[in-house]
Amino acid sequence: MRSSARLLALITGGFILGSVANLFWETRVVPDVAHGERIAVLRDDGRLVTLTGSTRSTPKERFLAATALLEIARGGTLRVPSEDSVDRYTVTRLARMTVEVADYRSELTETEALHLLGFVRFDGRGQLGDSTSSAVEFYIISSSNEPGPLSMSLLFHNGAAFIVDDDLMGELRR
Amino acid sequence: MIHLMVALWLTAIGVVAVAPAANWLTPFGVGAVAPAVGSAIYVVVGALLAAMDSFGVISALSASTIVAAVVSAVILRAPSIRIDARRLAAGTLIATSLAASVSVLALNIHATRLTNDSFGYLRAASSLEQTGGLEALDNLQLVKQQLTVSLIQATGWVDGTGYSPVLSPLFGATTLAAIGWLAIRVMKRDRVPTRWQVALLAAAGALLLTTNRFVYNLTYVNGHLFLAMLLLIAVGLSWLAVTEGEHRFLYIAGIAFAAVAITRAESLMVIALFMIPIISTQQLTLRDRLVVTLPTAIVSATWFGLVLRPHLPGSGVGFTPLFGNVAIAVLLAVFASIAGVPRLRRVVRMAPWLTLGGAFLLLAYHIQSDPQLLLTSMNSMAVNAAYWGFWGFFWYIIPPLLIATIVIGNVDEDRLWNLGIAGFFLTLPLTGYLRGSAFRVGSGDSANRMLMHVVPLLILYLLLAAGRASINGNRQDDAPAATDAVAESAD
Repeated sequence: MRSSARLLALITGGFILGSVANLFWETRVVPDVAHGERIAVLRDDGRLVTLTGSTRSTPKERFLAATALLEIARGGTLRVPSEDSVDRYTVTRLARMTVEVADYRSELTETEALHLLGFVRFDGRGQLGDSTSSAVEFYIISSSNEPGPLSMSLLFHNGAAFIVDDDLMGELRR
Repeated sequence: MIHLMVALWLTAIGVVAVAPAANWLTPFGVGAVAPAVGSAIYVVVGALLAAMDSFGVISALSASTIVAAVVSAVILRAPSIRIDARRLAAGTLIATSLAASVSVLALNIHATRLTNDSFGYLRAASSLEQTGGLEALDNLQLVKQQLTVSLIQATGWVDGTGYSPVLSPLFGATTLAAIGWLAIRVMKRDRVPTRWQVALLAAAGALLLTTNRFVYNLTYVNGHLFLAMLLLIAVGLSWLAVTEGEHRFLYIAGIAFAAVAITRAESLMVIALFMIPIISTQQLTLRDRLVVTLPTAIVSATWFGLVLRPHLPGSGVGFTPLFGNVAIAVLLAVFASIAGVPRLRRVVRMAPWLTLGGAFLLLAYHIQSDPQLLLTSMNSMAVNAAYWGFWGFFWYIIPPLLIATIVIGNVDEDRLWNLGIAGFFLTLPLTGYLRGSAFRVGSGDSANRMLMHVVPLLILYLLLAAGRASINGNRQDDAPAATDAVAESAD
């Protein structure tokens, strides 16, 4: 086989082989955005069914997760914002050190805001850590879509934080 | 809706800027490069407006439109350049269709992803939108992250969203379109059989779209894909202009290089690696060389030397790129000015190799001072490329293909591609030394993300080599046995 034909076969075959191998690789080993890792999202009909906040989640999800984290960490309750308010509370407003969730308003320090903006770390006792070096996976699991106070529990498991709607927790335990 | 309008406006700026080259680019080419060129002009103009404490999204877009029109008018003063209105109209239609369809898709998929870095960019965008200037920004953040991504994301403030869900996908689509257009144009020129054109493009597209990291770059807020897109257009159009002898339109590459220069702290180093082989090409005139280099030199010297200088943090900063970047910008301009001197021809021809050698010596100097940092960085880069970086099989496949192409490929003026690519991989570990810490294992590692910068270039280079190989193979198959040896030697 001449060198040109060999090179052509090599490149074409390499592209195809790489594509096919990628499909198996991604789906079997490293599931990520290309295959949709989100466990649950704001549904198209507007129902807030289940949210997943993680380092690979959408801004809406991260905003809600971060807001909930702060509230839960402070021992407060969480108000689930309406679909409209979620749109208004974009993550860059967090960057302006102000959080508004429904009728709740809180001024954050820059450090707190940074933690919420993806640098959150827990020390295992439910406190916000002070490191900006590692991000924690946090998950909000709720079955409610009603604006208003919502009682939630903060759980830790394998280094991740799970914020679970108490009503849902009760259902799960039944 | 406002995000769609911004995407269309940026595209329109690009159309205005490339209008004088519409005949050469063809309608598909206008469509493929206009969003990138428009965005490049916007970030350069936006950065200068921010430096003058006058930044606002609408004012930056308006000023960019004027700048694009002025550039166009200057180019059109050349007597032989005329705009073919029908071609330009067709190109405009393709460009706006691309921008509109990608925007609508992105707005409905809600796929925007944010990393820790993204929040830094968005915070800066928010401050820019509030104050209009650089004063409110964190100095260290500004020097390390630069302003380009924040300027792009600031467009999201037109409706208060705070980030743009459409521009990253648009840059991804533009990158794919530019690869497709450049590859098809060259393959047609080389008379590559249509079946091979289709097969190669489909295979390359499949590889990119199944590579998780590429898809991820389509959705998350950062500057890697933006830089990769502009580098592709700058190098691709320069190479096309050189190989087709159409040097008048090198100004588009000049615009793209200038935007790359202020996108990342280490950009000038990458630009030098790709630009020096272009400048040292003997076919270019002094004017051609200056058209490619001066926008980068002026923008870089102004940005790094004048604007960022007061923001230079004091002690405790590992990587302060300001002086080095200004020095590179000035050296590029000087080199472009003297590269045509006949007495210097041999040195000029060797300049890309000398640049590579210089980069290697710089790396060697750092290695001897801290060899462990290199070992840790190389180990992390290898582990990330092989497993943790979300690259799938990409880096298992590409290096052997690249080596084979460099050794037996037959791309015209291939040093415009392979010297820059080789230099990029050589200097990547160097950035670890410049920032003062080794690269780490993890998909968010800097080196892992920076690999994206050359991916479109690599794919296009391999496509060009494969296209050329397909015609060489056919010619050899058709040729009488007696001529085979001659054909082989021509390979």
